[in-house]
Amino acid sequence: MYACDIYGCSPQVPAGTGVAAPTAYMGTDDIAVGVKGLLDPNNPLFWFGVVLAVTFGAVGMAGSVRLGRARLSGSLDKA
Amino acid sequence: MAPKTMTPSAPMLQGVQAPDVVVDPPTFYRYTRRMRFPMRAQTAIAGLGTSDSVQLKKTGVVAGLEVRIGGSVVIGGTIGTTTMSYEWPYNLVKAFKLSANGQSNLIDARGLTIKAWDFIGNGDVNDRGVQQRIGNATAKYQGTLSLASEDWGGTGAAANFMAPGLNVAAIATYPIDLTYFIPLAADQVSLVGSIYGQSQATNLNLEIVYSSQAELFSAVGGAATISFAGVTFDVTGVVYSIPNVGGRYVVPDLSQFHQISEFRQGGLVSGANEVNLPGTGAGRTLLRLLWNVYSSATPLAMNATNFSDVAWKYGGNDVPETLPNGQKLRALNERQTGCDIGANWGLALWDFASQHALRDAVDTGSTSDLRIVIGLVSSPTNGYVQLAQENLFAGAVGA
Repeated sequence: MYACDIYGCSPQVPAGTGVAAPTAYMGTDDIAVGVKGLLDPNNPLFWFGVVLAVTFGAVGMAGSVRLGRARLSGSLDKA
Repeated sequence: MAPKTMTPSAPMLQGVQAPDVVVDPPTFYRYTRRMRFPMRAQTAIAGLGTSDSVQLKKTGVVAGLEVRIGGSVVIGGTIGTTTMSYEWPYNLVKAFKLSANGQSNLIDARGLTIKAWDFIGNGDVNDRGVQQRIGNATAKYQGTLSLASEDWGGTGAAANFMAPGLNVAAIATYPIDLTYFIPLAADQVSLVGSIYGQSQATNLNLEIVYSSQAELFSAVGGAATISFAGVTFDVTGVVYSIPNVGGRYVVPDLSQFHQISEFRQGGLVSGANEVNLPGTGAGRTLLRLLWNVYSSATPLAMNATNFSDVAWKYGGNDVPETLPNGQKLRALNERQTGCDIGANWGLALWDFASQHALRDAVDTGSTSDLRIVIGLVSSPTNGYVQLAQENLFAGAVGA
């Protein structure tokens, strides 16, 4: 039976113990930590990197599909 | 390489350095041993108008002190109009003053107040059926605060007794026997507020201040002689051992000090008198308020004839509890304490602890200008109120 439970007194802080400084609210997510985080699709930086790479031509993608006589094609690349 | 063991510095308990102890109330309750032993053997009192100082033994966790004052009062000479005042008998002790571990006046209250606390704090104690006389020779059987084992001074002869407000009929040797329990802990179950005594650094001192002859006797016949030389006192401590469990000393929660302090305020008039409580503030928890009003040095009975509105309030005008007259408060107090404390001694109680302290106790840090309201029907003669407040506070807050 502690005084704070019976009488509602404030629990005493042990001598020499300071109260921790307040910290900003930290959000949490499921992004992988470390280098893997850079390749994690949940990381906005990953998609920023993809757009950047396409924009500056570091990567290009092209493809085509033939359906009978029709042919569909598309590409992402420097013009 | 063997791991190094850090030796922590000795922790502070109630302002004194203690051995490496663990605060673990459940384990403490299981393994401690209750002890009662003399803190001061039977000794003649120093005399009326003086005081006795008792350095208490430094051991265990001290939860309470039992004080007995007894012996023979010899009234000789020519008795004349020798009359006892209403300070008799319990205010033979004008004040119990207890200082501990650097906190002065943890207890600073009259004998009557400490006596009343026995009934307030312990529902098993009551005065029903104990015969005493107050104010007139008709025996009263309740509301006297007397125990059957006590003696206010009676010779056995029908009319010979020392009774408050009454003439002493004859010269004689009057045996007296008064007992007090000084509650160091706020309650004797949890032991919250107990004093950590197991240290050479502990300083535990009880001062017993006695009223003067002029205060105890409202009149003394011209040729009467009064002697308290045959009166003695002793002090017994209620102490709990500090058990060693698994190599560690275990103590209950000693983070709080328990205080009963009393003051007097005069200048009361008819109508609502608001009396501010000193020493309130953050970190202090108010458990009870006990007060009584005197007119012409006689306690005003707590009833509707003497008292109109009674209340406690704080802030601008927050009034959590109010009653329309003294009779209502007297009835409430009798239900709370099992004793009609308002009938003869005029005591009134606002109790925030007995029923459910966690719910009712008052955090004085959030109740600014805490005060009581005493509604008086008539202006008292040389009126004053004696007001005692019971608090819990952390050591660092100060007394």
